[in-house]
Amino acid sequence: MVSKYRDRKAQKTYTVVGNDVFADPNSRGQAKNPFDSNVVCNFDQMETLLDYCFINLGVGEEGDGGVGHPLVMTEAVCVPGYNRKMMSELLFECYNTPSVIFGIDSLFSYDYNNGKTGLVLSAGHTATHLIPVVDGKGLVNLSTRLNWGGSQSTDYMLKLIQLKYPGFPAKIQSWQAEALMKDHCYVSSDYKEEVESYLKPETLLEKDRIIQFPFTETIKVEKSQEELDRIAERRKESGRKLQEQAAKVRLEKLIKKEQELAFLKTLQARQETDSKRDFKRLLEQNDFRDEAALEKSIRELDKTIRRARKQDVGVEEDAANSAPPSFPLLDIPDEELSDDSKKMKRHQKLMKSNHEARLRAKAEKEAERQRQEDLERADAAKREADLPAWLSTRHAARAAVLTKIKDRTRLRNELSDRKSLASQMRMKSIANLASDSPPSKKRRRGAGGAPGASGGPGGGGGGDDDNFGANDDDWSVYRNITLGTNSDEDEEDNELAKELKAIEDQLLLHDPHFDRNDTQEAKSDWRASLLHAFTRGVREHDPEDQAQGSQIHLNIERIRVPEVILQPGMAGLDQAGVIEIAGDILLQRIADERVRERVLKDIFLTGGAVAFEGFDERVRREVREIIPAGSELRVRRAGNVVLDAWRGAAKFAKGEMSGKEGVGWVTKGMWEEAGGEYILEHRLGNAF
Amino acid sequence: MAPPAAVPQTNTVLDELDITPHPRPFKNPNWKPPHRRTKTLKQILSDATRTAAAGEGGTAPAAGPMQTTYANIESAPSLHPAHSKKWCDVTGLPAKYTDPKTKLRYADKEVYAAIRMLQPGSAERYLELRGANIVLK
Repeated sequence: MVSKYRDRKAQKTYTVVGNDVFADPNSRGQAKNPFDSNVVCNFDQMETLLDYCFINLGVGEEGDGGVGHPLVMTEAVCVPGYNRKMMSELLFECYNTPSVIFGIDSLFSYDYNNGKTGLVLSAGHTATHLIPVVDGKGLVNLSTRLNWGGSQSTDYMLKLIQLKYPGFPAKIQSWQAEALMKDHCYVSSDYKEEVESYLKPETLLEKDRIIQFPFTETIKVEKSQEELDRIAERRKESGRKLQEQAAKVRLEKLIKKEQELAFLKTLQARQETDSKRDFKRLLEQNDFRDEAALEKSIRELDKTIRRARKQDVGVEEDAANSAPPSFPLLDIPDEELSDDSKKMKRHQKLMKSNHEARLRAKAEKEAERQRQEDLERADAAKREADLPAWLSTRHAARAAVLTKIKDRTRLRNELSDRKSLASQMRMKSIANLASDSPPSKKRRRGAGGAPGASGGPGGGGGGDDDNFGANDDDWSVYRNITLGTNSDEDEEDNELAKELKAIEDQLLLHDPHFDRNDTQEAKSDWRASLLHAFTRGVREHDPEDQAQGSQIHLNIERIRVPEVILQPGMAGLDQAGVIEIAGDILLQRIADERVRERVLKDIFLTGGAVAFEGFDERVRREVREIIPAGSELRVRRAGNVVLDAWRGAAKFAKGEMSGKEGVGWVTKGMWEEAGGEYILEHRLGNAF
Repeated sequence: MAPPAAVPQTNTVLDELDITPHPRPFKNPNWKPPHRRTKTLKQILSDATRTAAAGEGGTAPAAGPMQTTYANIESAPSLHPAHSKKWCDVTGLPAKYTDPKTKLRYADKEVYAAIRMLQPGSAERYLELRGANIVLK
């Protein structure tokens, strides 16, 4: 990694190389890699890189304007001639290297591990190679490359985690993903079987890895119990006060209405006694057009009173229980009373009607309860009479509630999509409401037809006067056009959930075929959820807990990421996996059977990506499946999968043939003679 | 790639690491880098095939076995039937179904419900992991 950038503040150009680039955010942002895939392509950066190496090695002290040592360079398998030309030019012209040898890293590693004949599987940073080696010589013409390596795996891991936790609070860096991959991934010995049982609770308990990311806890101010009590008390107190006031006001209103009703009733009664004309005059005096209007207002009044009474039920329980108070003053005519007593009488009058109202309310409530009980009894009777039929009605009711809930969630989802039918209906409703001329009835029916809407306008009745609002459902059009989760919707959701629960409770009680596991609650329980197991592991997830919020659960990823090298199709790479390639090389390309036997005895794994636990066993098992029965097979990995390539190159450089002409070393003179791409073939290098 | 070891206060760390002012006695002082355009690997490969084609058409003898090049050592597409197995894009489990709308593969109805609730763009990112996304050029 090379980072070269100019710091504007310091008026200075910095050149930072290698791991040093991560020391500073600026240099990290500018860091570049001279490699394109596994081939060096940017030679300016390569030059900086070599500078850094030679500076740190302290070579060139002799002062002859050159490195002064023979160099061993590694290069990709079958590197294009252009790149080697550029590299040679750089080494010979810029660094005055006396001689250079180019070799393949994995072959150096194999050589270091005393390999003579075998198949080298080298999983590198950007690509994976398989190279057969016979009698110490790498057969480059038989080798195969798979374009998948450690960097792609890291990328894959990172993307998987990002998609698994879309709202993750911390930004997961590439190096973090790499560390996660190195620490937790392993190659499954039987991927298909293992992956199928991975999310089962027993397996998951053992294999799920939880990674805690750093997080800052926002501390909520904890109130002491006393304080909480005091607040609750205060709230209760004020609530009670308000309730009392409201009840009083309601009661007064109720009494007034009752008086009015009584008056209207007397008015009605006079219809029979009075003459028609007199009655009509009386009606006119009281602002009624005719008897029908009177009757209508009586009916309405009656209805409101009834409703008000129902509301009052329960508030004044204790008052109703006490003995009926006496109102002695009421029976005495006004003339016999003093002013004070008159006031008293008025008060008693109020109290009396108050009391009566309460009694009436109580009776009403009693009747309501009676009605409920009757309903329940009828229900039970029906159940006892015909259980299957009753059950089927209950099941139908449950299904209806479920569809209702589903419809609601679907509607909500659709509204978030601008192009959906529901959204368009909503826009139509808004346009209709906003327009001055009321749209035709037909159009508005369409608006009401959106799922969840309970209907268009009621009444109908054409003409200019649309009786919008006469039907309660009309107002739902406003609810339909408001977006987002308002409390109203939540309330309705809660109600639906409660209804569902009630039905399910009944079913649990009476239906022998309906048990706990069938309830919606059990179905939406986290224990049954596959995705919960996938993202949150085996324990319940608490969304409030910030520590849990910044946790990553690695489970299937642990085998899914390393698996790509064996099944590249998983990550969209249209190439055969390493085992298939190995099979191709072993069974097709190596024609000689005796050679094949020898190669099978030493399958050698090297490179950073084979470091996954279980890789050797998997290779052993799968290669065994494809080779002829009874063949001897040995699989081993490099002593150090990462560093052995360097050690091999170092050993090679120290060898007695080092720097000598003829065994692969290209001297400056030869290079000047033969041209840029020239190399001498040797056992660990590319073919020319 | 190691994580940053320490957070630098100022640029002192960088000053320490900077190799710009360091003397380079090992370098040829007269060396001028050629005016080179940095080519990507793709360009290099296509250039190489072009020159090879030109060479074969010309005087150079094109005898002998086919040469191995960077491009042709690449592994061929898999022919093994087991490798065309479908996996769930979300969980990685074996996938039986494909969502006709997003073309995502999924393992069961719960995953399907999750797919339906995905944020816009997420489905494409899942497809991209499998190389099945549509790239507009």
